[in-house]
Amino acid sequence: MAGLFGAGIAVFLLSDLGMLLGFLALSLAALAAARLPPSYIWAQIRPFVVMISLFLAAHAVLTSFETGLVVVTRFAVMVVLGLLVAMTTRLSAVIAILEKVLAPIALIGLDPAKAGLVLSMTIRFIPLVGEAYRDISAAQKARGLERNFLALMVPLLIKLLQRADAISDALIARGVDD
Amino acid sequence: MIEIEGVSHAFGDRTVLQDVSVRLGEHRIGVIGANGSGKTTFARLLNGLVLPQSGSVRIDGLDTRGQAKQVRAKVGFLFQDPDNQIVMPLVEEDVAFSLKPLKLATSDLDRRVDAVLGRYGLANFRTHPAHALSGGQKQLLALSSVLVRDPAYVVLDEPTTLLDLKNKALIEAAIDDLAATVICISHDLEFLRGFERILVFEAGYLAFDGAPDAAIAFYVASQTCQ
Repeated sequence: MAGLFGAGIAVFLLSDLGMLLGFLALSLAALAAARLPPSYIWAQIRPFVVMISLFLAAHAVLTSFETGLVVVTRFAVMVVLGLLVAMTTRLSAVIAILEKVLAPIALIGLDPAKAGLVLSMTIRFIPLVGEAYRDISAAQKARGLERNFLALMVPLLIKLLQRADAISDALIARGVDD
Repeated sequence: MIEIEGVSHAFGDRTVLQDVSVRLGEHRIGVIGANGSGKTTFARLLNGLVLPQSGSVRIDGLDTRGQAKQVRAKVGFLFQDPDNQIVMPLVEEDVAFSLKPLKLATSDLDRRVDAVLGRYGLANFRTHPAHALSGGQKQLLALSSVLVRDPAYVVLDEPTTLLDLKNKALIEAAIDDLAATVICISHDLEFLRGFERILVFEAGYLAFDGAPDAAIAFYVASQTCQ
């Protein structure tokens, strides 16, 4: 994580396109060395390709193509390095670092461990929110209500609030606040 | 020993338990009753999730009112829907989360996580996302997260209701194998027939308390006569 932070600083201090392209080549080599499935890497990178193209086009119109190349190369380096860290670092390690960084909040009576727990739980429950939406969407489609915003959102909100209540009980049962 | 003395509880205007007194020393105790009979509230008394409005609940002498932390260290609780109980993204992280309060050395933590995941056939799923597991695997993961703390008692609230036949058999086999004292709420009467004692709840009252065959016969008769 510290390396990623340092690389970010370095990349933004560089303005020589040749050096930035060299940095990008090194980052891609590091990603290749991680031996992650190419299809998985492409699925993660694909949304950024569109963004990079848009940035380059915008710079070509508003500033210059060369400036655009410098900007998108910096961006590409950060995307590749960020991907490398995300794919090879356990969430528990990221949470542990976050808790250390947030340690000073204990001085104002807040709990850094709870901040870490909030992040973990957010990641854990995102797929379940998606599942709940799909289930409700299918049920409302069966009733001919698939285009009705309230018919989708109200049951979803109720379901999520009920789940939050149940999760709260589970956290208490697991001794989180003890 | 679980000691429940004169417990009554209501949620708003709805009385869910009425003057329940029972001492539970057996190793396998079943709890049955129709929906809304008070059995889930009864189960939640046992680890302090619900504090009775009157009466007392003691687990090995510890009062759930004033000693909830110590009670929860002794009493594990498995909910009906494992998706509400699994709070961490990866399998091993959820089991390790249960051990966090103990502040163990990493090697001890890993050893205990390994042992419990291996016991329930989840060792190869250590780094899998929890949401990618099957229903039965999720319930086994939730059970692993409870058991990694070696509780003396395990309360299970309808642990197989959401599972298909195969996964139900998996969980029931795991429950059969537990060293801890088990208090299990279930609608699976045949599974509970192998227990030592069954409590039957009806409209908030403890309507029957005794041997499984007699308790099940009482319950079936009470449901079919209505």
